[in-house]
Amino acid sequence: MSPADLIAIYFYFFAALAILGALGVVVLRNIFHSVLSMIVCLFAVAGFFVLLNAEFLAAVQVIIYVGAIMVLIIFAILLSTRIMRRDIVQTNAYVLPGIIVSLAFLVTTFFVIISTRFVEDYHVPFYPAWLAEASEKLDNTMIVGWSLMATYSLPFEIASILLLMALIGGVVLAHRKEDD
Amino acid sequence: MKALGAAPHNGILDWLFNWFYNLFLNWNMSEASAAAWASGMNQLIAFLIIVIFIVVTVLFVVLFERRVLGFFQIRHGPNRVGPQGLFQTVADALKLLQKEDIMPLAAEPITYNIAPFAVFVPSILAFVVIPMGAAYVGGSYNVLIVRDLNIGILYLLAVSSVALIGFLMAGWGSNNKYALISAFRNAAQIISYEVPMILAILGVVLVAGSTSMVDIVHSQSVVWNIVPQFVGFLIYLICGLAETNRCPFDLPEAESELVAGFHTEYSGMKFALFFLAEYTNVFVISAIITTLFLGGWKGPMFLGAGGLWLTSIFWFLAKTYIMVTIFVWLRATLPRFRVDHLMGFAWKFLVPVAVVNILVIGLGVAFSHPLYMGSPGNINERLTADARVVALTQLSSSSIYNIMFDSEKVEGPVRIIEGNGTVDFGWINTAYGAMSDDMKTFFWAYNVFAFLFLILILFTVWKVIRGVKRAPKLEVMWSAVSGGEADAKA
Amino acid sequence: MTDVPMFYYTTLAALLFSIGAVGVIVKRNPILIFMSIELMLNAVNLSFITYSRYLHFLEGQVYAFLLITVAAAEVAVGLAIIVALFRSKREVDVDAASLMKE
Repeated sequence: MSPADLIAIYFYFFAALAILGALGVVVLRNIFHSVLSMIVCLFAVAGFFVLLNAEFLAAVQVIIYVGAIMVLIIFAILLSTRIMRRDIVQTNAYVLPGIIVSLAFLVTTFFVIISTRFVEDYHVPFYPAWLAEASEKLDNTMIVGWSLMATYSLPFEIASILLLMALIGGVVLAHRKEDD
Repeated sequence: MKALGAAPHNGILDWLFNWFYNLFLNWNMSEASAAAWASGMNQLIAFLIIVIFIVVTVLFVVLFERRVLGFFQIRHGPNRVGPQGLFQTVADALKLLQKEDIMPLAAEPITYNIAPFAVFVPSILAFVVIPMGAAYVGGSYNVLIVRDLNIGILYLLAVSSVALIGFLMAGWGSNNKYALISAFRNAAQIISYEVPMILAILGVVLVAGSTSMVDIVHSQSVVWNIVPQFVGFLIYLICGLAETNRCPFDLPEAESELVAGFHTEYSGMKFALFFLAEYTNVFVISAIITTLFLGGWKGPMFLGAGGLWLTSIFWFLAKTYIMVTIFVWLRATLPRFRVDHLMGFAWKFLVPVAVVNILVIGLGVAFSHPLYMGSPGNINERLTADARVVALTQLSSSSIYNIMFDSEKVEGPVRIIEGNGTVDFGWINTAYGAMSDDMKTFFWAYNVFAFLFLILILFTVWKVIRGVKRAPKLEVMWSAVSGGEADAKA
Repeated sequence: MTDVPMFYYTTLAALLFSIGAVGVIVKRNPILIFMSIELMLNAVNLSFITYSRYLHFLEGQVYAFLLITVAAAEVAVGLAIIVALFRSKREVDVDAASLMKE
């Protein structure tokens, strides 16, 4: 078995996991089970990141999504639902229209994908050509760090300000007033 | 580039190691050993050896904690099953195996049954990136590690966040309010303490210039990180205690408030999995502290090149078990935190201190202070191109510097462990002449520090042994103090 | 290079995005809507990384990183809003939040 075959097997495995997990989020009635199936889906996407030579983002995906975001969502579930009331209808009246709209979107996107001709070997001018060449061999963490700190330092700073704003906003919104 | 000091032949040690290495420890595959690797059986045996190592380690850590706790509380620990109680944990595990597996009626079957595995498996997965030693094989320098991932430390953080989901599943699936409260306390605690923990790790990564665990160890060739980053070490130690739910952060298991925590409803082998996961985490956190702050497997290599594997494993295990002892010591000493104090401590004290720590280390790295330069593997050191640094840089064949600033030299993967010139003693022998006075000072400081550490190890061992021998005498004293005739007879 | 065609990855991303879109349209519970949005963001992330890999477009990873940051910020505010909604209405249902002011 060649490495390419192995990668293909991994791809189909992760694809099955991702699709099942995503369907679970929408289909399952118990909200906690939805969260768990979402976690499965997030892991599958992290697996894709590893297959696509983006190990740093795979680790970030697991640390931030699984370790922080999903745990916070479970917290929100605890704070906002009655735990013992388990299987309730979570859907509204728009089931059929929703599915039709999404299917239409999927079909459109599919045709866009198969009709687009991508420019292969596209080198970004911000990088020296040798860095783009070496990106297959270089440490992925270093590539991302180099980009964030040198070329894209402004978006990076804006993102950190956004995080600060979200932090303050979260505290203000969830803060319980004294007379409450 | 050929390895620096070629391995001198050391008779029996060399042979023993080659046998041992080819059979069991050939984890860090190179081109040359790939063919031998492919012969099938070895891989299976290596896998089994890793599993057995983990199991034995975990079983031993449980016993170790009970014995050391006994020492601190002036009593015998378990000492009946086997010599000095060595098989006590095995007996406990057998007992738990044959117990009935009870599941509460109201529990959710799927969540309830998956949870113990979701907690236990990540703690085992953490062993993948922990470097346990170094060795010479056929004249080249190898690191004993399952896989040297380039995202090493991030991998560890990711793995530990999976266990958190396991705790929440256990709390939710048991359908028990105490278990649920415990799980949520646990989640809040771990999320809060992960922030200063990552900030403390960031200091180490800054100095090493890499997230790979092997590079981090190599960056401590001259001085261990615990010296320049003592604050970071303390922060990581505290956060490690919180991450593993150890005393004084064992609020999720506070038996006076919550019955037993998230595993209240678990029995039999599922309970044992939670229990083993906790002790595996204690060992793993100790090993991470060793790797990040105590120089990993580095230490005076008193057996020479042929015995490098033995001395490096010895140093790794010695440092790790000292950290485990400190964990137990803290458990025996400190009372439990209060919930509001716990959160306040993390957010109002640890995070600001960790930020200041990062600031100090960042300034040190930016201005190339010798304490924060790391050694041969550091990009920063190569960027300051004076003669001393060039001399040191030549020792390393894999140079990120070359790739970044000299595109013609790009060849092969960046990190080449095999044939890398950064050899503990060989490096020191060759590079000592090339060192400036600063470097020589740190070289001696490092060795004196390591020597003191060795004395500390010997002292601890001596204390424990002496304590074990002293215990019966104390018991007599105790019955004399309490004055009970019945006590003496019993 | 991997032998799996880029087309597979992008189609998979589109599929995940559509499933997330169904969730957003169909669900009543704001937390589930939230998770569906996260799913859609993940699908976009996946396509970014795919392009980064197959077209040597190194920025794709940077974009994905910034996207994850935005998602984290969104969670902090969004969950605070959900908790505030629950406090005022005593239930979590987007249909219940129909008034501008309580």
